[in-house]
Amino acid sequence: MSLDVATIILTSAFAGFLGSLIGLGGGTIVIPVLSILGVPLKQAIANSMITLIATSSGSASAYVRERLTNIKAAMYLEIFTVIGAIIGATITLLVPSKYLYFFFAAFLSSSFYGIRRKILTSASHDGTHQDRLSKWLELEGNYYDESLDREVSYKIVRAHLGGPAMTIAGLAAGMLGIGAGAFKVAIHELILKMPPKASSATSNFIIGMTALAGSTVFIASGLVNVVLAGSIAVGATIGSLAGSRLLPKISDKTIRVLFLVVLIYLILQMVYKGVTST
Amino acid sequence: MRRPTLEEVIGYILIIGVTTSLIIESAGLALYVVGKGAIEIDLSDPEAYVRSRDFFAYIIDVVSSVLGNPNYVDVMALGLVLLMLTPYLRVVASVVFFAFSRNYKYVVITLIVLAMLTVSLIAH
Repeated sequence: MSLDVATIILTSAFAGFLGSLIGLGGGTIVIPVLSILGVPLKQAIANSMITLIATSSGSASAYVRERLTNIKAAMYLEIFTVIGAIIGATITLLVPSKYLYFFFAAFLSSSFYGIRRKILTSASHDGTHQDRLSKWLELEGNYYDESLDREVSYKIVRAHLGGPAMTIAGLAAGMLGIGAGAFKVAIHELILKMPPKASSATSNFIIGMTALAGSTVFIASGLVNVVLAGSIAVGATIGSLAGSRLLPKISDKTIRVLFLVVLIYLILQMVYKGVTST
Repeated sequence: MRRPTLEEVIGYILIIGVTTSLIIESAGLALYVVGKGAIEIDLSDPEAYVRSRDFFAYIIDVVSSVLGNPNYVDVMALGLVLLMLTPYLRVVASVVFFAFSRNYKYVVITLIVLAMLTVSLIAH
């Protein structure tokens, strides 16, 4: 493989495809692949981050109109992820790449949560007693769930904990140029008690904003190459659109096995790069 | 006429922004491949890098280059600029929408997000 437009479009398309099937952004896969192709890690992070806006916004537009996305919750949580992402991206420009490889490998491991949660079923949160802040912020929602064939309504709790936790998600996303979707979904479900579909859709929506916040730092860093970033964006978006079309037709087990193999390979690659880089 | 919901406004901003920027980026890539006669990405070519200290000044630069005598770098840069403007405009639209709905709590919340993004886009 060499660093050319066709290879980057194809690998990004594959990454976007796999990413949309498993509910992760393309960056998780694109960045290690770019790094294997010889792109310096910081540059891979900076170029991949901008393209996350495309993969996130493409699917977000559909989720928003289906009312799966909780816009008010997203706006409140974005205060925290935007701060986190700006700080995270700044840290990435300052620290040696060696440490970033290890941090990346460690964070890839958090993606296993995304696989595990596909198996879990969720309880509905009708009639939950809300705390004062969550109520003041009007954090509640309802949407029509096709698989359940009924309207699901829910109330969000513990906004005072969810906000600060999202700063950490934003920090990791900004540092590594990824969406940190699995981490965000975990916060939405475990702390804020959002139902799974609203949680995924809202996380996807917030990723676009976190990616913009990180990009505001990277765009000024002189690391963004228009041909590289453009190739990733075109490939990843085509891949994620194809993935979301095919999603209902592929078995969960096939996806999970495929993803596990890819993930473990990439984690090992990043650790190897970290050990051998000076 | 019925006022559109926030969901509809944001949905349209996102899909129009992403589609437009992808069409422009694809055109830019085609110009690149045809112009260079090769598909290799040269990371050492200084021309291909975004140089933006102030994002809004950069937008004006890029747009005026594209309207003048565009090369592939300007076209690709325009695509990336539009991509970054997409979530930015969705925050702007939210501020306006919450102001119209007289939900001042959320006018403040969305203004905080908008202010942080704007400062980070200008001050580098």
